[in-house]
Amino acid sequence: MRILSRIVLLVFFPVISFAGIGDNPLLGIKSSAMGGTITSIGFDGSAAFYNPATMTFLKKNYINLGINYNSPKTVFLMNTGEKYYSSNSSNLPASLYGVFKFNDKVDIGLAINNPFQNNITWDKDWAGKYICISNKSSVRNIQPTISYRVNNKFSIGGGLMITMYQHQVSRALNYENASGDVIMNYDLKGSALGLNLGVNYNVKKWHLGFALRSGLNYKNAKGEATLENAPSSLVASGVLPSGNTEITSSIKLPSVISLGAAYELDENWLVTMDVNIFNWANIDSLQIQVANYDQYNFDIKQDLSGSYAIRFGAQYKYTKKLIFRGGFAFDLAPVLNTFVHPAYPENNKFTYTGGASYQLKKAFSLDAFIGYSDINERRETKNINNFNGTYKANAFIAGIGLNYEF
Amino acid sequence: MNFNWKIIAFLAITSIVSCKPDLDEPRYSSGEAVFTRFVSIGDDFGSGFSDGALTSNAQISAVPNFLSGKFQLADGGQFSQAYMQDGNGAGYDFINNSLVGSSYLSSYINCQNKSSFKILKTTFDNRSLDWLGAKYYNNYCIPGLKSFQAYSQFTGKSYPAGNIFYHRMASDTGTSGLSSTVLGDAQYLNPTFVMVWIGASDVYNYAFSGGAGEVGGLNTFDITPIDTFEAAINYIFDGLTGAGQQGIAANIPDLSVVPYFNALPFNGLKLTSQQASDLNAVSPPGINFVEGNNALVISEPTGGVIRQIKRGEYILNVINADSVSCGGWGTPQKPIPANYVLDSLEVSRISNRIAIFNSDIRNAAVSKGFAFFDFNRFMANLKSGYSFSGTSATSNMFYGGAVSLDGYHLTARGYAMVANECIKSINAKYQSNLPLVNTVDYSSVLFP
Repeated sequence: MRILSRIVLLVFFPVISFAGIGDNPLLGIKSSAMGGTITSIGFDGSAAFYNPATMTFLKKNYINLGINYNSPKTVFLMNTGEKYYSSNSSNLPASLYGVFKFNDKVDIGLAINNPFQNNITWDKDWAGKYICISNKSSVRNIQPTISYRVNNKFSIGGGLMITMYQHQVSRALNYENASGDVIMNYDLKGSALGLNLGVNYNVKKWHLGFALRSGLNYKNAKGEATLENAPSSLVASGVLPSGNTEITSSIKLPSVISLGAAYELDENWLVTMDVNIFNWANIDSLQIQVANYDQYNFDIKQDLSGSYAIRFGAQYKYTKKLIFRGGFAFDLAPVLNTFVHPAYPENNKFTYTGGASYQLKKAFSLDAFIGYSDINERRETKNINNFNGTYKANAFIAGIGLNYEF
Repeated sequence: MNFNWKIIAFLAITSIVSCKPDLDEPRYSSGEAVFTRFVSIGDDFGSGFSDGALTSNAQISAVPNFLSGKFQLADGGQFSQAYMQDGNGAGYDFINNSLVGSSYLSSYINCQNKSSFKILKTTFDNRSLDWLGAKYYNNYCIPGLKSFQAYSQFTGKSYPAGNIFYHRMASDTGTSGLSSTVLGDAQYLNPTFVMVWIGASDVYNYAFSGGAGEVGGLNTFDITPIDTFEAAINYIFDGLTGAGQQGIAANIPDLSVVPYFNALPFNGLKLTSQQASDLNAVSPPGINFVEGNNALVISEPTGGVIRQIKRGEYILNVINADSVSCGGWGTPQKPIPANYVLDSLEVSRISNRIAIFNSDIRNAAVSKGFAFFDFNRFMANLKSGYSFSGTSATSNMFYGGAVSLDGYHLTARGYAMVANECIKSINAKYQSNLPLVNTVDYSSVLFP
C-alpha cells in the first residue's frame, strides 16, 4: 500500500524525480505493443527473458526474431539561451527468442537480446563538450532458460544471463590547438553473469507473475582511451598521454523486480498490468579510470534513487488472423535533481504504444508495434558540473518481428 | 477501407518520427536599466587586449562587446568598435621599449631534454598607426590609457606624442593643435549605460618596466599621483553620468594575482647538493645555497651589489624557469638584472597605490549607484580555479586557460568569464535577467 501511495504520488507530482538509465524494456514485439506488460503471461519466445516461469504455460514451441528501433531526441536549453539538440542517437537492438517443450512439465528456452542500451550524441562543439560529446553503452545477453510446471496453476523458471558490456564515450579535454579541441575517446568492454528467476500462477481468467533479474556487476571492465587532435607539444611534455592508454572501470547495473497481472475479459479481450522496480539505489557513480592520467577520468557523479515503471496493456483478437494491441507506461527516472548528466539526460517518461499481429501462414505470423515516449522537461539550476539549463526529450519507438510456432 | 488505413498509419508514423522536442527561450528584460546606448571607457582590459597585443580577433572578446551582445537581447542597441586590421595587431614591449605584434606559443626541447614552451612575438602591424577618419564608437577602452589621459588633448595625437590606439579612432587627431579627447568622444554618443574600467595603466606601466619610472609622476612608466588619479576618476564618472546614467565599474588587480609577476617563484633556483656547494664556493658572504629550492640571486639597481631575492619580491616573466635551469640566471655568476625585478620597496609602493586607487574607483561607483565588478577578487579566486560547464580555468600560465600568453591580459575565454561576472552584477543591481555568455565557445591558449 505504501508503494502504491508512493507511485500515485509520483504520478501526480512528477517533479520529485523518475526507470531508468539505458534500461531497454521493450524487447518483445508483442509485449511492447502492450506498454511492455509481460510478467504474468507469455505471448511467445520472449517469455524466456521476461518471466521464465511463463514458458510452461505456452501452448506451442516458439521462435521469435525481432528488430526494435528507437530514436531518442533531446533538446538542451542552456542558461545562456543557446539551444542544443542531440543527434543521430538511434538504436537498433535485435532479439532472438526460442521456447521448446522438453516434456509435459519442462520447457527450455533461449533468449539473445540487449537488455540495457544507451546512445546519445551531441555536436562536437556543443556547450557540454567537456562533460560528454557521445555516450554509447549496451549489454548483450545470451540466456539459456528452463522452467518447470509444478501443477496446472503454478510454475517456476530460471535462466543464466551471460552478458557482455560495451561502453564508448567521447568528450573534449580542456586543451586546444588552432584546429580545435583535444578529444578523448574511451572504449570499454566487460562481462558478467546474472540470474533471471520467475514464478507464474494462473487461476481461471487470472494470470499473476513475479520475476527477478539480478543486477549485473562488471567488476573488471577494461579498454583503451585514444586521443584526437592532440597538440604534439602537450604529448611531448607528458601533459597528454602518447598512444593508447589503458582504461578500467567497475560498472554496476541494477536488479529488476517485476510484478504482473493479466485478466481475460472474454475470449477476445485481455488486459494486463506490470510494475517494474529498478534497484538503482546503490549505484551512485560511474567512473572510467585512465591509467596514470587520473585527471582525464570519465566521471559521472550521480545520486540515484530506486525507480519504478508502471505499465498497462490490452489485447483484442479481431479475427483469427489479426490481433490488435495497445498500452501505455510510465517510467520514473532515478536521477535526482542537480545530478542530471548530458550522457544520461533522463527524466520521468510516458510511453504510448500500439501494434498488431497478423498470421501469414499457419506457422508464421508477423508482429509489429509503434510507440512514442514523451520525456518530461527537467531544469537544472545547481548542477554539480556547473552545467545548468533545461532538458526535454522524446523518442519514437517501433519494432517488427517474425513469429514461428509449431 | 484498406487504403484509408494506410494513409492514416503513414501520417501517424511520419508525424511521430519527425517530431523534435522543443523548449521556449525565456524573455529577457533590462529591469531598471536602460541599455539603449551603451558606451565603455577604460584601458587594456576592456579593449580585448590579449597575447601582448590588440588584434581584430581579440576585440571580438572585449568585455563590453560581450555585454552589449547580451544587452541587445533586452533593449540594447548597436555596439561599434574600432576594429584593428586583421593580422598581428599592435602591442608594446615594456622591456625593449618597442612596438610589437601579438605573441604565440612555440615548443622546443630545453637543455634538460624536456619539452618546454617559448613565447614568440610577431611584428607590429604598421597599419595600426593609420587614422580611421572622424567617427565615433561605443568602445573607448584604449590600451595603455591612464586615467588623466582620458581627457588629455594630446592622447589623440599621433604616436609617440599620443596613444596609438586612440589616435586611430579619435574624432579629431589634432594635426594642427589639440586633439579630441577619449571622454569627449564617449560623451558624444549620449550613453544611457556606461562601463568604466580604468586605472590599471596608472600603476602597471611602472610595474612592467621593473620600476623604471617615478612614483607620483605623469610620464609613461610613472605611477600616477594620488590626487591626479582621484580627480581623474571623479571627472570621468561625472562626465558620463550628467543625466543620472547607470553603469558598471571595475577595479585593478593586485600584483599578487597577476601571473606575469608570479610565474617564477622567488625560490625558483633548484639545486643538487653538488651544485649548491659549487655555488657556495664562489658566492660572496651573505649568499648561501642548499640542496633543493633556493632564492634567486638578483642585482641591486645601483652599486653592482648582488643578493638573494626575498619572499614577496617579484621577478618579471622575462625570466622563466628555462632561463634559470638552462641559462644559469639567478646565480651569483648571472644575477637577474634589477629592471627584471620588483623589490620589496617597489612592491609595497605598487600594492599601496592599487589599494588606494581601488577604493577611489569603488567610492565613485557607489556614489553613482553603479553595479560593480571586483576584478581584483576575481583574479584572486582564479588562482584556485573558476569552474563552468564541467570544466574549470585557473590563472596558471599556459595550462590555466584564462590568462593569455602575456601573463597579464586574459584569453577570450577569460574575458567571457569576466563578462559573466559583470552580467551577474548588473542583473543583481538593476533587476535585469540577462543570460550569461557561453564560456566554452571562446578559446583559451592555443598549443602548438
